Amino acid sequence: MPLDRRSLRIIAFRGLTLTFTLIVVVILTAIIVGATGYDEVILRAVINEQVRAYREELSRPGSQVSPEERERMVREYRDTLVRVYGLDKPWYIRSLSNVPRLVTLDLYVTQEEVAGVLGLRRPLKVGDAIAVALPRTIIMITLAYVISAFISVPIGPYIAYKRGSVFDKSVIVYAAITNAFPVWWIAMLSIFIFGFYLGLAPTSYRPIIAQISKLSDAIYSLNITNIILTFKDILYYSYLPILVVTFSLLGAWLYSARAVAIRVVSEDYVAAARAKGLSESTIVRKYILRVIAGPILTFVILGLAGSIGGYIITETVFDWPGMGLLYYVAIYTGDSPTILALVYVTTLVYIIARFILEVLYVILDPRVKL
Amino acid sequence: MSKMPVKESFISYIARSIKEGLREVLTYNMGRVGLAILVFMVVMSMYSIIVLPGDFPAMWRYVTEPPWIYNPRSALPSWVEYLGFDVSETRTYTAIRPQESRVIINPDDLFRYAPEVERALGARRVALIGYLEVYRVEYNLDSRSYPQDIIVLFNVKASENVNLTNIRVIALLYVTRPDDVILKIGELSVSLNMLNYMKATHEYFSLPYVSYYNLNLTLDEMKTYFNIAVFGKPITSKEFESLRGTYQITLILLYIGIDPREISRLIADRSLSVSVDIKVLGTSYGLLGTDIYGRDLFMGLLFGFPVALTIGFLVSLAIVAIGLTLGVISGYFGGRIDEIIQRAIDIIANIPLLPILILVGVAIQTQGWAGWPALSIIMIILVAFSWGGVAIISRSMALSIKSEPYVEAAKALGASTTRIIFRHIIPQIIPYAMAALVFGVPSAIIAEAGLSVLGIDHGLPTWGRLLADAQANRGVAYNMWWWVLPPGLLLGLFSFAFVALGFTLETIVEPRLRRR
Repeated sequence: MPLDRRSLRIIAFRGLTLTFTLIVVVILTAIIVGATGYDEVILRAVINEQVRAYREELSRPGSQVSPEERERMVREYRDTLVRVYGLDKPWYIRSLSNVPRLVTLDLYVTQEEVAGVLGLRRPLKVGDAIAVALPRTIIMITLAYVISAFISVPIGPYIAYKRGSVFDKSVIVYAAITNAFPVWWIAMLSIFIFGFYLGLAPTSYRPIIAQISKLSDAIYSLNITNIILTFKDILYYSYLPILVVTFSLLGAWLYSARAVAIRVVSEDYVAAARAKGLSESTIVRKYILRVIAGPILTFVILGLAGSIGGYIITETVFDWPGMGLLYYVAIYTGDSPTILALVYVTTLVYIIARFILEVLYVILDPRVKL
Repeated sequence: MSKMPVKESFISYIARSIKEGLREVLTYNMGRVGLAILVFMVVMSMYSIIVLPGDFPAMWRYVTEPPWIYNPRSALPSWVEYLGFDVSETRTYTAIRPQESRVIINPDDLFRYAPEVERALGARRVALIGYLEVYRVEYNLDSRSYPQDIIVLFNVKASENVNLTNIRVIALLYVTRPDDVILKIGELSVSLNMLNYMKATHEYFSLPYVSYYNLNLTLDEMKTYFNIAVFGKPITSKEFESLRGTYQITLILLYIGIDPREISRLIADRSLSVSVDIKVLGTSYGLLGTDIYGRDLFMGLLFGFPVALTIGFLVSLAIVAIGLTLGVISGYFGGRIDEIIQRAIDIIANIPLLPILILVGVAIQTQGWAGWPALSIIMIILVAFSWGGVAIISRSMALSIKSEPYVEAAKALGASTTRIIFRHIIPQIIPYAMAALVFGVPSAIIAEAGLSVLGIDHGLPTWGRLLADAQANRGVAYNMWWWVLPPGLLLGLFSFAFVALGFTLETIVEPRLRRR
């Protein structure tokens, strides 16, 4: 479809405002990280701990270092650490100097604990950390989004069509319930019931790290039996998290799909189609689904883009080493490069998704104006 | 929802529309359920404010202080007994009266009135002349699980002219088991001003008990299995099962140091009163049991009601107020101000809220803030990043209302901007704002709960905090459903009420959703 100049201008303008949004979001985050001074408090504690260990190392019995020499070495060590962590510079330089380097993710994870939660060790580039955490989040959360979308998109219009039926009412109640109970509490409850009481699911989910790396080894070596075997193990570790997130998402998805469809169901042309005696499935497919495809697509694309940030609390409850847990540990240990990189990557993906949608709107709907 | 008559004031219009809205909400099932839960929440909040002491958060924090140390630990709710759970009950015998109280001049009288005191052991330790009080209570054990402990609490009151330091008290605690074995489980000898509490210990287990059962227990094992030794009978030399039946717990107080007749007189004319509570700590307690520290979970949950309502309403109200104001301004005035507000909405909609909240939470914690100030900061952040949705809706409504003929007419008649906004625009947005307000109430308390579960401690015992404690002790807590379930259920019930009300309001204000 050829784009005229006006449409191109609209798209370019949308692209610009979205880029502006991205930049402001990252800079604001950098300011919040830096200005509250919390990372400094945490980093100082880390430095003190390392200096203490170093001093102990030096003053072990049998060491050849004189006390004056030792004090000098400890002082130098502390100064090095202060420089390494950037504490010799004011917060705005320390924090904001990271922002330009985010474009290429040319930053390093500063805290051992952050690398450790992924099953890795430092030195570690933030890009690599995210590359490791992302697939795990996709297995758990994005997959649950996909499942919810596959279930709710075809069913939603039917529910709208049969408004007032028992099925419709139970979907509303289900949506209200899943909306009311936070997903992480359902996670706690299901670990409690299926893990501890019934013994049907694992109670610790950390081994998923080993299983995923086994799977990638098996895929590289094209060992089919190994692939199937490790796939089975991964399924064992992931089925409960996926089920929990899907259970919780499905309510909102069904309700939204229904809400979108309801506006269409009451249109005159649907009534006309019904009067013509068309079958229900034809009406849903041709007259309803086709019309609501746009909003539904928006919903699905934005949902999927949002899902890659992970669920911080739910992943923490499951101890699931994905993006959410990475986020959490990075915040907790004051690892500002990792925090910024996570904010940057998740916002970037979300904004790209929104840009794609904007382009689609402009292409598909000539009425869209600035 | 009816139109706003010209002669009505803005406030009374809002009051009237709330009243009408309420009447309409009650015609929907979901609305009725939501409203019922809301009323329950409000009643519980008021009860909570009346019942709980003002310093309850601090009390809750200190797990090694009274009253929690006088409670059984990890105790189930007491009603589970009726569900077939095998639990021993916790009984408190409050302010019991002494069965004997007399002046002892002749040493033999002591053994006559307090036969638990053994001649051989007791005679050596106890000063045999004094004022004697004997308290006896009966505890019935009908369960396989052993009670955890026996505790005696004293409350000494005296008029100013009584010198308590001169009076000493010897307190002896015995338990007479169903199999007639008498065990000494406590001894205390303090001056009366120091008398406050007494705990059963293994130290005084007398030899006869051990030889009676021919036990091969070391002192350490006795200590570990103290309650088993008291409330159990051995099957083999090391294995026990609980001994069912009626236990008699005897507390003997012997007041010495001054003339026993003088003490008798002081007690008789109420210049001195010693009130005694005996507590047998079972494995069930109260309405909702206790956590691993012995904290009464019912009290903890009760505290959560007013907090949830306050936080929820304040945050939601602020979000709607800011969103409505900025949205109307943005839509009505347009131009540059509109552009700025729209960009701001774009940015706050893209800022990852939860990470920022966690960040601020951790920052607050590292600064050592706690309690309401810490919670208020979290609430402010929540408001600052959440008003976008309401603003978008208000803006689009303001835009469309602005170009209605009657607004044009009002303008032509010389109506001021304020008048148009408050007469014509806001009243029409109010119903939608109400729905948004109701939907928004749970978000704050759920965010707070999530932050708590992540370990951010603002120091108030909210429902989230209780869950966080359970999560922090997950190894044990996962066997304690009464710790994990109720806070989450209340959280869910609370949100469900508002979701249900929100759905109902949405159906009312959006006529297209109404069933034909």
